Amino acid sequence: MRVSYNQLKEIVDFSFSPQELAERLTNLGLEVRGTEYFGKLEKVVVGKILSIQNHPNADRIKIVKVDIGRRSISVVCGAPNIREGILVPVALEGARLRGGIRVRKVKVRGVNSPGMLCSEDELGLGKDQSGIMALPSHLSLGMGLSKALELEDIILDLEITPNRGDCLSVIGIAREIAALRGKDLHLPSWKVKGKERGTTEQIQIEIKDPELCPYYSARLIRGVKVGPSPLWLWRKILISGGKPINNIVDITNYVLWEMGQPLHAFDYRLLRGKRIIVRRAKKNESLIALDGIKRELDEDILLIADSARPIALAGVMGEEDSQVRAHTEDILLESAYFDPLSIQRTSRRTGLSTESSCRFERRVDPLGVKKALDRASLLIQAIAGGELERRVEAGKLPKEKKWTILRPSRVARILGSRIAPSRIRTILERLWFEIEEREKDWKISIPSFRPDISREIDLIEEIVRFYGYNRLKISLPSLGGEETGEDSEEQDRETVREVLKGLGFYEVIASPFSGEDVFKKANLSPGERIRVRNPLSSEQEFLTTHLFPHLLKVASYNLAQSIEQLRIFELADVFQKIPSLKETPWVAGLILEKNFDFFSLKGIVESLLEGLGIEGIEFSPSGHSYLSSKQRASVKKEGVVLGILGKLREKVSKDFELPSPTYLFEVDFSSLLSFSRKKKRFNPLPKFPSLRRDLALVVKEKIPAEKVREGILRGGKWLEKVELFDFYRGEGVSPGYKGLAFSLIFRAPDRTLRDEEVDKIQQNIVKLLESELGAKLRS
Amino acid sequence: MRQELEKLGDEAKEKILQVKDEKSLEKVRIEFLGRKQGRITKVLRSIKNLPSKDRPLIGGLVNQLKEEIEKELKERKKSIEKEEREEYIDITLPGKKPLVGKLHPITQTIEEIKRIFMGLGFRVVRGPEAETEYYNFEALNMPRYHPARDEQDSFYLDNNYLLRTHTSPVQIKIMEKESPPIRIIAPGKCYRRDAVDASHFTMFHHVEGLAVDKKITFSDLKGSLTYFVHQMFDKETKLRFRPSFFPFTEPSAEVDISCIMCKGSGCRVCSGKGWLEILGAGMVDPEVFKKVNYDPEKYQGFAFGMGVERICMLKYGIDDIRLFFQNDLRFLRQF
Repeated sequence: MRVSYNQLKEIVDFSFSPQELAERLTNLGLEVRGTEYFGKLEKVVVGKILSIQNHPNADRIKIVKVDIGRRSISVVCGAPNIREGILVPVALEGARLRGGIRVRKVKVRGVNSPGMLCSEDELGLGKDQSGIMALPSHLSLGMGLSKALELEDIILDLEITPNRGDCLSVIGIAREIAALRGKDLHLPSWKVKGKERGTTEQIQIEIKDPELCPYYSARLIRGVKVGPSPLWLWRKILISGGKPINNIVDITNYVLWEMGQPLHAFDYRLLRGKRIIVRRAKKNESLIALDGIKRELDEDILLIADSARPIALAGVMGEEDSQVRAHTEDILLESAYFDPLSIQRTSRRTGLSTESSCRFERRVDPLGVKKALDRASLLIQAIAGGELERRVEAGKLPKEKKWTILRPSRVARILGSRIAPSRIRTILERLWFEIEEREKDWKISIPSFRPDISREIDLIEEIVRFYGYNRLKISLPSLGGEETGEDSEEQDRETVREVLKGLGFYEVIASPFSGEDVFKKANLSPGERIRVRNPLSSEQEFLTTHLFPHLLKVASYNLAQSIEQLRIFELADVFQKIPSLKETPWVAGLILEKNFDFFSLKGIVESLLEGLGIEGIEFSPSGHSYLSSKQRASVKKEGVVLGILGKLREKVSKDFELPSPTYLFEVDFSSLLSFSRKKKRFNPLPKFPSLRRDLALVVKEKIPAEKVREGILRGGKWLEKVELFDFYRGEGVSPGYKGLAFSLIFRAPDRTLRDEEVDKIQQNIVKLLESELGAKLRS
Repeated sequence: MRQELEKLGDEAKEKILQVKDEKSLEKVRIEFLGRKQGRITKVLRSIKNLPSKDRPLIGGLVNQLKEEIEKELKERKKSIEKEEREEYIDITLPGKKPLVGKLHPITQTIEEIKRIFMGLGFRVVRGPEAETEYYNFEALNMPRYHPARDEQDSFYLDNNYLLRTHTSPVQIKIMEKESPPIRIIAPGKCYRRDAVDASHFTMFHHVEGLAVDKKITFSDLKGSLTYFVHQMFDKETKLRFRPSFFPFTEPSAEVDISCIMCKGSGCRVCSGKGWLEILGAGMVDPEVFKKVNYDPEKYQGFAFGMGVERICMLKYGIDDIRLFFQNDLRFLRQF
């Protein structure tokens, strides 16, 4: 919301400088995003185009002779809208345009240009950059533009929160300023009494859906002269951020900006049947709005129609045919109250958010509907002439909640700081609340323009807003016996991250969106993926079902940045459609490194699980299509799959532009949670020495080492630890066989073991392995 | 005589130990054992002047001393040689670093935020990223068609789920399950259907906080957030609370901190304002309490929310949010 400093001063007496005012408003919750000078233009003068000639060396550029008062100059211009005889702004050498651009004498393709003709945009007066700004014809030539247009002002650009529809108006903001000091407002007049004439037969209003439109009023104004707006109005439209169109439309836009009540003007002669019907759209009905776009409508959309067809999207935008044009003579001026939800719905459905719709959505002041109609009628009469007919209306203005209760003790209870009741009273009264003090509480009447206020807590907010947040005390809440700290899941998240960091991994964070191509490249089945219904690009069509494709993309990106080796991991949620939506956290890692193999990968997974206190895990073959069939495994505990690991399939590596081998692991974080050991307990250190024996065996190639190890464990009493320390194939071992060497640590808890005892156990182990697995001692 | 000899021996041994190189060692040898002027050699020579009965005893002692010193010299020579050989390394050669990874700067920032609020007795909780409209909007006092409920900005999924736009749904879920007192923070990923540029990304991280009990006040909110800001940035950082609007809090506040770059004098980072907006906060709206069946006459409390990326960017001077999710190792290594 842009508002003029000068205009605020006209409505309310205050002595704040623009900067002070901006700070005051910000501290009231009306955040001032910025302040800007308006119309401060040096060395920009009014000029009249005398003649237009073609440039000798360029097709689209013209040489324009302009009269700038005491002399005339020739400048070069390429704008399409220049005509002889019109008045235009001429920026002379040294003028500073929007964005600080300085105007200099230039030579354009061999022709000198000592200045330039400017668009609204270039002067910082508006947004139009399509052509040179056309000026009203009565200005004196050569006069400084700011002076000629009385432009200079300061604009405050405010961010209005959705609850404060009342502050989407100059008067609304002035009310807040007035409340700071308890000042009165100098409001414009809207008394039409004595200025109306005639009958009400000219138009009939019918509201078919009073829920969506509780009240509709209109006034016929006959014999207006449509034309450009007078300077003051034209300037205000520019200040408000709008675009001047013609006096009638500009007046409706101005009153909307000043009072916050949207209005619309129809060309009365184009209304068929002399009727206004407020109704829902029919199926298959369509309308071309003022933006020139044809829209298909549905029954959720409220329309203003005449007896034959729709003439406006109610409260949102008018229609093309019925708009006021240069030749319009009689106009019908509309001022209504529409249901906020209905306007929101129409706005969403049509994708149209307008100055009008955003005010109706936030509820307009019911008491302002008629005032705005009258105010605009008077302005039209004053500016465009015409005769005012009597207001015609239908329906009833809605009754907002009129009062609520305030317990002054509650203020301190919520805020934690005491505010004196007299201060509370002053604040509320300055904000136009009326107070009736009763025995236990206060009954507070709410002004009609504050639909955001209905409860005690809303009043407390008003009180502290004006009292000042920064004046409240600072304290800390006392502990009340709540649960504190981290739950075990949060601890495990930290552990996983810390362990992987310790193992040399960098953590990455990627968004979970995924495109069809990624699923294909990663060799993932599309089966249970979740679709995003409104993606912004094809890369956002689905949510990812696995973390690894993102890791591959990250690795590939980094490789392209000449990073050759990396270890990366991510801990994030993946999404599946089982049965409707299943979101589960996973942790996945990727390793791209020299001298790294499957067993290095397996060691990483083992370390990770160890870090969480998960023991007794097994590795078994897995069937994941994106991993190489020779080097892949699942890791399980008690039959539950915790995750998978292996070498990425070469085809997948290639598709992601990664070298082979690339190693991956993926672990289901929620299943880790169920096994992770939370409590640690100390085991006393052994009191007696251990005995170590090495056992070198030869077994058939296909017998897994883990099976041999299990056999040893089964056969041995006092065995504390069994570890494979050598694996051998080749000379000395027949083909089809392999050599395995284990170290065995024996220890008894209560005494020192003797060699003979251990020899005996070892013999038993060898016997058992021989019979069960056909293993032989290696000679 | 005997005492003098012992003194001489001690002096010699002391000097040998202090010597750092072979040259000085040779000097010490000459000082004590030199053929002409050596101090021990002189003593040896003077023996012939002693009474003959004393000669064998003293002679033996002097010879013994001479042998001892020679032995010391030899050993010292060896050790000096060894030291000299060892010393020859080029200490400017690169160190051999063990492989150590790093956590993402966003994770590090969340951990820091967690640590600060845990110090104030807050518990860390998490919730799902795919939510229902009820938890993301309705339970937070944003009914359908509420001006603050911007559905255009949300990603919708199959079966009417949506990706949460804040972690505030977590506070509803905790309040549904537990009764006050409650003090939680909920960190996590959120999503907004926004065009991507240097300050917007479709995904971001949010930390939501909630404290509910019988007497938790707006002053407590101010105190808690002041403590947080002082811990997160520094004690000189000023806070400004200004009125704002959120559907789920009333009164609501936007919290600004004095610009950490220019200390409030105005610079590019704060667009010349001297203040940076970093938090939204307020007292929990009674409507929210009603949704979770808390009696707003009995319980009250505050809630706040902050964007992790924003805080992280300010803290480290990062100027483009996209860097976080590009995961360039050259970026990640810096934190």
